[in-house]
Amino acid sequence: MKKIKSWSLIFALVTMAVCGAAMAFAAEPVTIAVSIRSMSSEYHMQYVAGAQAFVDTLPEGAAKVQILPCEADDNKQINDIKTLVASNSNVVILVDPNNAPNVTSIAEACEEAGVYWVSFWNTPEGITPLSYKYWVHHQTLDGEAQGYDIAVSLFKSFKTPGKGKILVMEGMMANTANEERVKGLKRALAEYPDIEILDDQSANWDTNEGLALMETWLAKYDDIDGVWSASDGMSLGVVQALKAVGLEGKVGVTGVDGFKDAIDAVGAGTMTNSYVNNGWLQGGYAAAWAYAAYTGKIKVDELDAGHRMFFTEGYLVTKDTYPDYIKNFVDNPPVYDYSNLDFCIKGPMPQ
Amino acid sequence: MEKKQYTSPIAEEFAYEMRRQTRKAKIINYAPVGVLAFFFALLSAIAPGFLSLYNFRTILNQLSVPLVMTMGLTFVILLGCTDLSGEGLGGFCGCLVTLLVINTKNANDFGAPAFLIAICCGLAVGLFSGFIHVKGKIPSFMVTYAISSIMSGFAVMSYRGQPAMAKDPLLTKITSGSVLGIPYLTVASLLVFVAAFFLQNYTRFGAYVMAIGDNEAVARNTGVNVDRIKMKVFIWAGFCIGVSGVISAIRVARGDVGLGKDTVFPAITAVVVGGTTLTGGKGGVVNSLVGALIVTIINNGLILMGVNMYIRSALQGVIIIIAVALSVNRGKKVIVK
Repeated sequence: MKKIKSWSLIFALVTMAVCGAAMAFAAEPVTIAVSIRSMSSEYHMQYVAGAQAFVDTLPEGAAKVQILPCEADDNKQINDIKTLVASNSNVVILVDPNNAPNVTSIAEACEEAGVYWVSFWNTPEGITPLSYKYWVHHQTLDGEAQGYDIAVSLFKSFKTPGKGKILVMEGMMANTANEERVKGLKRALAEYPDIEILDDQSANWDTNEGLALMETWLAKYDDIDGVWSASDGMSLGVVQALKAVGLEGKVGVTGVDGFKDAIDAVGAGTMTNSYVNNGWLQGGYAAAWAYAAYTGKIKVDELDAGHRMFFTEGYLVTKDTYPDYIKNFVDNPPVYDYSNLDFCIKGPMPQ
Repeated sequence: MEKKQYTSPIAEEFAYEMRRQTRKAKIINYAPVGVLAFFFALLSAIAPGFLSLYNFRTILNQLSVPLVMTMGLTFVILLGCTDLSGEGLGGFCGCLVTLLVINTKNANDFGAPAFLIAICCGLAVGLFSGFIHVKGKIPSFMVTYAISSIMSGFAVMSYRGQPAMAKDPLLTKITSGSVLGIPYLTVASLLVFVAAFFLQNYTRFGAYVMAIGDNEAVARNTGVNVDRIKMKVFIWAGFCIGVSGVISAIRVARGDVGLGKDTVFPAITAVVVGGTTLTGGKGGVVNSLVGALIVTIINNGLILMGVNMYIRSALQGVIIIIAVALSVNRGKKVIVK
C-alpha cells in the first residue's frame, strides 16, 4: 500500500512538473529582437514600431519585441546577437548590419544556433541569403530609384520645369546608400540636359555640416534653383541656411528618409520632397516573415531568389502627395495585412 | 670702444642670448597673425567668392561656435589639461534648448530663459568634471571623455529617438538679426571672448592659471589653491561648452545629439594653431581668437574652392601637427611621451 502511495505521489509530481514546463514553454513569448544602429535614429524607431505593430496582431503573449541598439559599433552588434542566440533559442532577429562585413558573422552565429533572421539595408556583395538556411531574406529600398525620383521631382518644380542650376549635397562617401542615390541623380541628369550642377560636395549625413556647407555655398552662388540633398538630416540644415537669408521656399530642396520635420517642411513648402523609407512596412513585414519561418508556416529553403532578396516600396512625399501621406500614414498609421507576406515586395534585387 | 673693455664676455653672451630669446618669443607670438594674414591673402586670391561682404558675414556666423568652444578650452589647455566633453555636453545642452523653447515635441515655452537653463547645465557638468579630475586625481582627458559619452546618452534619452524641431520665432529672429552687420550669434561669441580676455588679464584667477600651467609645483608652494583654480577652469569650460551648444541649437533649430559632433577637434586645433602650447602656461585667449579665425577661414575657403570634406578634415590634421611642431620646445632636456 505504501509503495502504491509513494508511486502515485511521484507520478503526480512528474505530471505536474511536465505540465508546468509545458505551460511555461507555451507562455514564453517568442522574442523578436531588432538590432539597429541607435535608438536616436527616427527611421530605426519607425522600423521597431513596425515590428511592434505585427506583434500586436498576434494573440496576446505570443511574441515580444526587444531592441538591441549597437551604437554604430560592429563588435557590439555581433556580441549582442551571439549572446542572445546562445541564451535563447525562442527568438528571431531583424538586423540592420552596422557594416556590410558584419553580415557573415551574424549569418554564421544564427545558422549555428538555428535562429531565423532577416537583414535590411546592408549586405556585402556576393553574400546572399540563398546560401544559408536560417537567413530568411534581405530587404532594402532601391536607392537608385530614390535618387532618381527626388531629382526628377525637383527638376519639375523649377520655374522653367526641367531647366535650372543645382547644388549636390552628398552623404557619407563610399556609403552604399549614398552611391546608389547619386547614381539615380546621374540617370536623371542624363534625361534633363538643361540642369547645370554648380557644385557637388559631401556633408556626411550631418545637419550641422549641411548648414555650414549651404551657408558657404550661398556666399559663392547667388543664382540657385535647387539643392539635391541625399538625406533629410542634411536637408534640414540646408533649409536653416536658406531661412537665415529669407530664401526658404524659393530654392528647392530634396530629401530622403521621411523624417517628421522634413515631411512638415514639405507641407510648409520649404522642402520640395522627401522620400519616405517606410520603416513601418519594412519592420512589420520583416517580423512577419521571420515569425512565419519560426512557426514553420513557410519553408525558407523552398523560397525562390525573388523572395530571398527584394526591394520594398517607399513613398515620395511632395507638395501634391503630402495631404495623402498625412491622411494615410500620420493620422491613420498604416495597417498591413501580414497574412499576405508578398505585399511588401516591390521587386527582386538584381543578383 | 673703450666701454667694451669693461663688459665681461659672459655678460655679453648672456645679453645676446636674452635678446635672441626675446626676438624668438616675439616671432612665435606674432606668427599666428602672420599665418592668418597669409591664408587670408591666399584664399582671397584663389577661392572664388571668398572676398565678399556676404562671405565675411558667413565666416562670422561660422566662427561663433568654434570661438566660444575655444575660449573654454584655452584656459583648460593653459593649465596643461584637456577637456573633451564638448561633443556630448554641447549636444546635450543644444537638445535641452530645443526641448524648452516652443517645439514640436512638447508644450514648453520658456523663451530666452531656456538658453540660461541649458548654459547652467553645462556649467554644472563642468563643475562635476573638474571635481572628479581634481579630487579623484584622474587624468582630465579620461574624465571629460567619459563625461562626453555620458552626456551623449542623456541627450539621446532626452528626445527618445525623435529630435525636437524648435518652432520658436525667437530663434529665427536671432539667426537672421545683426548689429552693425555682425550676426547676433557672433556678437554673443565675441562677448564670451571679451569675458575670457578680462578673466585672463585682469583677474588673479587668470594669473594663477598661467602660473599653474607653467609650473604646478611652484604655484602650489607659493600658496595658490591649485585644486580650486582647476575646478574653476572646468566650470568656465563647461559654461563655454553650454553656450556653444545653445548657439548650435539656435543655428540648426533642431535638437539632435549630433549638434556637438566634430566641435572639439577643430577647437583644439584653433587653440594650438593660435600658439597656446598643449603643455600649458603659454598662449592665451587672443591667440585662440586668431586660431579660431584661421581654422574657420581655411574651412570656408576650401569649401568655396570645392575641396572634398575628407581632404578638409585631413588638412586640419596636418595643420595641427605643423602648429604643434612649431610651438613646442624641443631642447635636449625635454622628454616627449
